[in-house]
Amino acid sequence: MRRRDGAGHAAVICGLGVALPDLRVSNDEMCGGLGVSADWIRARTGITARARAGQGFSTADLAVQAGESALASAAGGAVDALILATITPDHRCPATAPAVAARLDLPGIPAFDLAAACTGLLYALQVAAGLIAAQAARRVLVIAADRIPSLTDPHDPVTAPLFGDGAGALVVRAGADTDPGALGPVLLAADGRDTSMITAPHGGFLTMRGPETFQHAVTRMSETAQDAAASAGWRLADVDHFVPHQANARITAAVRRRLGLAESHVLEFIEQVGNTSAASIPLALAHASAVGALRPGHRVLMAAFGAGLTWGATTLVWPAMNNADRKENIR
Amino acid sequence: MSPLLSELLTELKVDPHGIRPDALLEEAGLDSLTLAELSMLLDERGVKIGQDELAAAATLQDLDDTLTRSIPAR
Repeated sequence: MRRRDGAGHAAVICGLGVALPDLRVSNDEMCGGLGVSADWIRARTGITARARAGQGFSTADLAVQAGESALASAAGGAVDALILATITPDHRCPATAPAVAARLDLPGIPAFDLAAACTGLLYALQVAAGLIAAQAARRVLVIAADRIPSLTDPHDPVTAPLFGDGAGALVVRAGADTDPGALGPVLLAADGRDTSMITAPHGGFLTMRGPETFQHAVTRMSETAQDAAASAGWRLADVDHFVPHQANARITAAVRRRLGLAESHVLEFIEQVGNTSAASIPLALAHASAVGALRPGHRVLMAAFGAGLTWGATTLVWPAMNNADRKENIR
Repeated sequence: MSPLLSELLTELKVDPHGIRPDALLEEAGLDSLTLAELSMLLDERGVKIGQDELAAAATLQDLDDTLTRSIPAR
């Protein structure tokens, strides 16, 4: 798939699509078997409802819907590779990405899964940027799709109320680093010295040590966001929208305080959909775009943290693009 | 309430006014995530007290006592 045509080998975002199930499960519906109240869940997480895919709905189903929407948004031009960021693949073997590519009528292109938990989107963007820089691809479809509720213990008040199902996708093309949508430096990191902080063993439920996760998420996201902004040559005061992984509204608030950002400069999309893992950043972007808060020319700083531990951040100037999503679902 | 705890609570958006010293931490709005952030704020001020140690306090007064004990020992 090696190609050597066109000018510019920077990674430029040119399409966005999401998939969000219509079903919402409220705190009142959740709290029965958890031994906590609906108010406790809201105070603890900032979440009042979470999006849930119905029975028989797979990660691939979400990924295909988001991918279709992103391809329609990008308009024109085939993609050369597909990367699916997920920790809830439909099978242990094979990977889910080839099936997603086939359903998107993209046979033959390289397609693979990438597991970096809630940081998966940023890891996948960096890999896409690498493929483009190596001239191995001109356009890459990056999809982040997770169904974390399929991993949670319905009786665990720490994890069960937190997560929702969702997917988001971005089309990344080769272009000039001055193009609107060009990714700034993507900073990534991992620390696997204590994998038990957030873990789901084969055949077991997801467990999470809440307070420790909170501290690491706040520290890692605020530090890496500052570093990514500096690497792009931006001051935090230049940022129009900070888009953290929507882990928990309390984490977002703590990161915002550490960065000294006003609430109006932070995109939030968790209250009605829950923590959608790797999909949360594209869902927040799509939501902000649909309601008119995010517009072309805005400076966007993204940061994520997840199991692994993994974390990362990057920047871009939001480009003009079509929005092919069902707006009523993400407003 | 000590000026330090009052300052920290304000930073955490927990209004310290009108909270009784014998109020349980949860009653005062201090759940385990707030204590995790409180531990981080203390760390920024050079005071090392883990979230677990803070969570061992039953009341706001206990929490204040934990801070007071730790600070001279720095």
